[in-house]
Parts: sequence; C-alpha cells; structure tokens
Amino acid sequence: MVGRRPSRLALRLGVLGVAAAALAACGSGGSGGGSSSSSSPATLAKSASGTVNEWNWDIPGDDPGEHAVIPILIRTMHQEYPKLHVVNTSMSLAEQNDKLPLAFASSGAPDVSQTNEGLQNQGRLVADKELLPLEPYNKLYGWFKKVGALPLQYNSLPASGKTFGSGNVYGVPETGTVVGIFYNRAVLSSVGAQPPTDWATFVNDMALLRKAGKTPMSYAGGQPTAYQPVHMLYTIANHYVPAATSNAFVFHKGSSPSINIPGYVQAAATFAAWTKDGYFPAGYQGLSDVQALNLFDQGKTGFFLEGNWYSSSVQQALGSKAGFWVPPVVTGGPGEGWSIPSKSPNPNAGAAVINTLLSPTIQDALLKNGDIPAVTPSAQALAGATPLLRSAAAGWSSSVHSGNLVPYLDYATPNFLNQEMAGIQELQGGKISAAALMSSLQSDYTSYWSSQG
Amino acid sequence: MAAQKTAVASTGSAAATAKAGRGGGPRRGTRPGRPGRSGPPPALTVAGRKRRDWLTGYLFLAPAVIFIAALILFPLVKAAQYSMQQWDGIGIAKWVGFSNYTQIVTDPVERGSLVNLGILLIFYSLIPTALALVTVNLMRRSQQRGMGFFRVIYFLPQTIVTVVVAIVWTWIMAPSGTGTINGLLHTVGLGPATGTAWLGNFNTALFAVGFIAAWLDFGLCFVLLLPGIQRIAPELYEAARVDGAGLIREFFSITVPMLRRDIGAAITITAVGALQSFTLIYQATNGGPGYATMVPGLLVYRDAFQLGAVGSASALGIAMAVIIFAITFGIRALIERNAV
Repeated sequence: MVGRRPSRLALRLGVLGVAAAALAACGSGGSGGGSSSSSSPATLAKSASGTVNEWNWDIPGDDPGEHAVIPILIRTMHQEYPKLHVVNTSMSLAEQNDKLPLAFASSGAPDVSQTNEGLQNQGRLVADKELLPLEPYNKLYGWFKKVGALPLQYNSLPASGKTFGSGNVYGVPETGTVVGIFYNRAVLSSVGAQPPTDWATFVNDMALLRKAGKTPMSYAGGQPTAYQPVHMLYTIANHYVPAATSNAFVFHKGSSPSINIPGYVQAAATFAAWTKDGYFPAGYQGLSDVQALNLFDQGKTGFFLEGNWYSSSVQQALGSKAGFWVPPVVTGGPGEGWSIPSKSPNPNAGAAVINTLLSPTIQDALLKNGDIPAVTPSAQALAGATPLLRSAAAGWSSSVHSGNLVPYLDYATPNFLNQEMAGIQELQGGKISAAALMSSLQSDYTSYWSSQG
Repeated sequence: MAAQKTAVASTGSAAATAKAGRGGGPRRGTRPGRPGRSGPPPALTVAGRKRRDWLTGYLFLAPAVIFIAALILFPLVKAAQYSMQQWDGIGIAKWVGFSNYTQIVTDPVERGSLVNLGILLIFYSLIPTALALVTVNLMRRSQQRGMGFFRVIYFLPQTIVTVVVAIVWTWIMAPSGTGTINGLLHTVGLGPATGTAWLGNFNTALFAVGFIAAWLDFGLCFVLLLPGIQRIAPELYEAARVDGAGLIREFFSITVPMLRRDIGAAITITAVGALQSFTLIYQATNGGPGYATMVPGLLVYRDAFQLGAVGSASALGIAMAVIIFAITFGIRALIERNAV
C-alpha cells in the first residue's frame, strides 16, 4: 500500500499535464461533452461482446471487502454476458484523485469507474462534463430506490459541479460506511466500566480507564496515513451538533452555514481536553493508523474510534471481546460511487456492471467480506455476518433512514481535509485554541465559497 | 555504417574547430587574465567554408536545441502563462494577473513554506557539504587502504529510493519500540520508554526531517568532493607541513581553496535538490504537524493535483525556479570572485 503512494506518479502526471494542456489549448472551448459514439441508454443484450474496462479504488489495503468481490463481479458478468470481457483496474484513492480528471478527458476513459464523492473528485469531473447523469439508467434498473435517498445525495451535483448534495445523480455506491467506536469488553470490565450504549457511559468509561492508569483510546495523530484526528473531531461534534446543521455545512445549504458555532467549538475544546488529560497514547503524534490499531488489537487500550472498515481486523484479533458502538448521530457515508464517464466507449455495458454490483449476489458477498452493503441486506444474510459488522450494518441502516447520517466534514471544500488535519495538530499541540480552530476553518470555508461566485 | 560514422566524426571536428575559432575572443569557461589554457585561435582561410561550417554547426546543435525547447522551454513558458490564470487543469481558464504571485507572500502557509525551505537548505546543503569536506580531508591524511569501501558505504543512502528512506526513518523516529532512537535512549537510561515523537512534535519535526535529508545528501557530497581532493598535489601539503602548518591550517589554506569549484558544485546540486524536496516530506510528515514541515514542493503538488489550482501551483513553481536560478548564480559568482 505504501508503495502505491504517488510520488513518482506526480512526476509522470506533470508531463501528462503539459500534454493535456497543449491539447486543451488546441481544442479550446469544447472540452469534455458527452460526444461518445454510443447509442442511447438501454439494457445490455445477452449477446453483447467486447471489452468492458472497469476502474475502482479497491486495493486490498484500502477496502478489503470491495476488493474481495471483484472476482465475483467478473464471474457474474461472464455468466450473464458470455461474450463480454471485464477488465479490472484498481488504484489507490490518492492515485484516483490525481488521475481521473485527465484520464476521463482523454480517449482512454474506462466504460465505468468509481469516483469519490465530494468536490475534489466528483465535483471536478462534473464541472468539466466528464460524467453522465445516471437518471436514464435508473429508469431502466431502479437503482435509486434500492440504495435510498441519503447516500445518493452525496453523489448528486448541479451541472456546475461547484456544490453537491442536490442535482443530478452521478454515482451509485455499492457499500456504506460509518465511523463508530470499537471497544474491548475485557479491558472495560477490568476497571469496572460498562460497554457504551450512550455518550455519557462512553465518556465515563474513558475517565475510569484513565484513573486506573490505562490509556483509554487508541489514537494516531501525526502521520500522513492516519485519519483519526478528523474522525475523532467529527464524532465528538456529532454529540453536540444536530445532524441537520452539519449537513447544511457540508452541502453548503441554508443562509449562512457555519461550524464556527458553540457546538463545534465545544467539541474542539473537548478534544483538546482529552488530549491534555492523557486519553490518547503517549507519543500519539508519531503513530500511524496501523500502530494505533495494533495497540487496540493487543488489548492495550479500551477504545478505538474508527470506521467499520477496521471491523474484520478487530474481529480477528479480539473475537468476542470486541464490540462496536454506533452513536445515534453518526459520521459516515456511502462508499465510492460508481459512475459512467461521458467518454465511456460503452456506457450501456458500464450500467450493466453497476446493476450487477447492486444484485443480491454481490451485496451479500460484500457483507461476508466485511463491508456494509448499500442495499439493506436480508435477515438471512445478516445472520451470517460477524457481530461487529451486524452492529455497523444496523447503524448504517437506521441512520440512513432517520436522517442522522452526517457526511465526512472534509467534503465541504477541496482543501478542507488538509486545513483540518493541520489545524487539529495545532489544537492538540496547544498552538491554537478551540475557538481559533473553528474560526480559521470557517474563514477558509467562507473564502472558498465566495471565490466560487 | 562504418563509413557514415567516419564522415560524421570528421565533419564534427571541423565544426568544433570553426566554433572555437569564431570571434577570436576568450573561450567559454575561461575568464580573461587566467593563465594557461587559451592559446591563439586557429585562423580560418576561405569565407565560403566558414559559412558552411557555421550552418553545419547549427545543424549539429539542432537536436539538442529542439529537445530543450520542447521539453524545457515550452513547458516553462506555458507554466508562466498558467501562473497568471485561475485554471483547474481541464476546464476554461480565467486571467487573474499577478494575484497568484502576491498570494505567495500574503498566504501564511505559502510564506511559511518558504521559511521552512530556508531552514531545510542548511540541512540539505550546507551541513552535508561541510561534513563531507571534513571527512574527505581526514581520509586523505590517513592514506588508508579500502577507500573504495567507504566510498560505497557513504554513497549507499543515495541509491535507496527516497520513499523507502522516509518509511525507514519514520520507524526509527517512532515514539517507542525496539530499534527506535527513543528505544536506544531508554536502554542507556536517557529517557522514558515512550519519548518524543520526533516527526510529530512541533519543536522537532523540521529538524528531524532535516536530519534525514543531511544523512541522505552526505554521501552525495562525499562522492563529489573525493576526486577533487585526490587531484590536489601531495607536494602542496608537504610544503605546508614543512612551513609548520597544522591540520586546521592545511584544511583552510589548501583543501578548501583548492576544492572551491567542487564545493560549489556540491552546494548547488544539493540546494537544487532541497528546493525540489517533495518525496521525503510527503511520506514522512505530509507537511505536519500543523504546517511545521510544509515546503513549496508539497504545496505545488497539492495545488496542482489535489485542488485543481494549476495557476497558483505554477506561480509557486516559477517562483521556485527563480530562487534556484538566483542561488545557482550566487554560488557561481562567489566562486569566480574568490578565484585564485
């Protein structure tokens, strides 16, 4: 996974960028545009032949579940369309963010591809007219009803690509994710603490652990690979701020969406207090996400706050000692959406791939391999899943339907994640106050949106 | 094939002669007043031949000129153009004048990255060059066998892919564990089991990254300086010793002045490397904690590839190119001025 980091790629793309720029200069004006040679949307004939290029970010390190179903997808497609040949290409998220805008503008665009929700990836692609709206295919296949409205909101953008949360649907996810709290029953009971079922118990448990001289929470706060800082902030904020307020901020809706509000400042202050009180491992600034996970898996901490995608690792290490609590208002979102590029050589075949991904065969296989399927699974399929994943799937399903699912806040602007990661490190290092963090993030947000006109 | 080769060789030498003779002034790289090298220019006789040679000369230059124009000059001019625009890399560009450049000064993150770069220059360039200079001087004196062995050992870090170097050093600098700096300190009783997160602490991160860079560049400087010191005539040192010069006097009166050009080359190469530093920082800290280790190279990458802000990335890139030029010319001027 480490080797896939795109340091070399950046150089290669630099050259590509110049070439693309030269091309763009030549063809000035008419960039993008759905001028593919294909026919209008239709279901794919059984006799369809040729090659279907399918791109995703499902490398084993990033998403073992989605990675595991790729061979099943290829097999199912082959049974369905014997003359069709599916070619799979997997890449890391960083690689994908860097590569898709140029690749989709070229004649080498795939037939169907995952795209990352948010302005950084889907926003750019839609703004440059590189994706097809999926509504015509929904009419044929009925995807939107299967997946539910909230996850599709993340994949909806107006033609400008400058906001998201409404407009045409450009991506359909195959999975869902929630950020919850893993706990170790044995560690908790050793200090007389109960498994958390609400916020008060959770906070009280951490205080008990600290008092007993244990590290309450596995946490990595420094290295580039660790996203715990932002997930921690979001989860604390969800306790203080209603889902609708955070939603309005991410989707830039309402009169003046803001996170420079008492709830968020209080969340940041809580975060700083936990840091100061020693709730996180010593030297957390230098730990990687894997090291934090290991501390929890080895039973050295009581809690580990992260996404359900760690559930198979935790299950393997701790077995029945492990539990997963999904708070009532929860940060999460659909896995990457499946999109059809405007320049897709065969969009109808691409749609057939998406439809197969939403079929019970693949959806049940996802659950079996540690992912929350986007389509609510049958009771029978659920019974076969691990207890951790059952909690996660239940949390996903209920938050999607109750409207208490909060998007990852870093979807808010393209640079938000960078600014937030740096800001949280400064907060934890005692360089800035909670109020200063929120006001600086808000001012970056405001200046981004005012620059968008 | 063989006949063709001969023809090329003979025309080539004719062209070289013509080039050297033209103008009759000082040759490139040789300043007036310097003794030796420049003899009287060979005279040319027939005017027609002179003109044909002139054409041939340019013909020979053409492949290189075309390559440089297409791969360096054209992108440079294009980058200058983009730096005046707001452009996401694919869509329609908007002309914004110099605002991308003023942003370099007004934006605290971009400004801070230049300050960090200034500090890192010391680690990337000055420290390894100074250490290498001392080391080659010591090795010259010791006259030991096995120089080749040391040359290989010292150069080894340069041959490792930077990503691997960064990963290994993040392990070495981890807060605790076997094989880490902190683990070592703890074993000898100099610290707690879990010590400073060198790469994650605001006070140490920049120096920790700098340390890795110095470790990385030392071998390069060593290999650059070694042939130079082997070129210095031993008689010079012997004479100095007869005159009563000690180790330090020898170093400053013979080694440093005689290696002037090599030192200049080492500083230039490592400084250019520092200005382009990206991989090490991207992998080890990603500019953090906060913006404590942010460098322009990482910002260019973020702007161009993550944020689709090709304009500000280009502006920062052009600004870095200007700085690189300024440093290179500064070093060169310094060396030429102090020429003996």
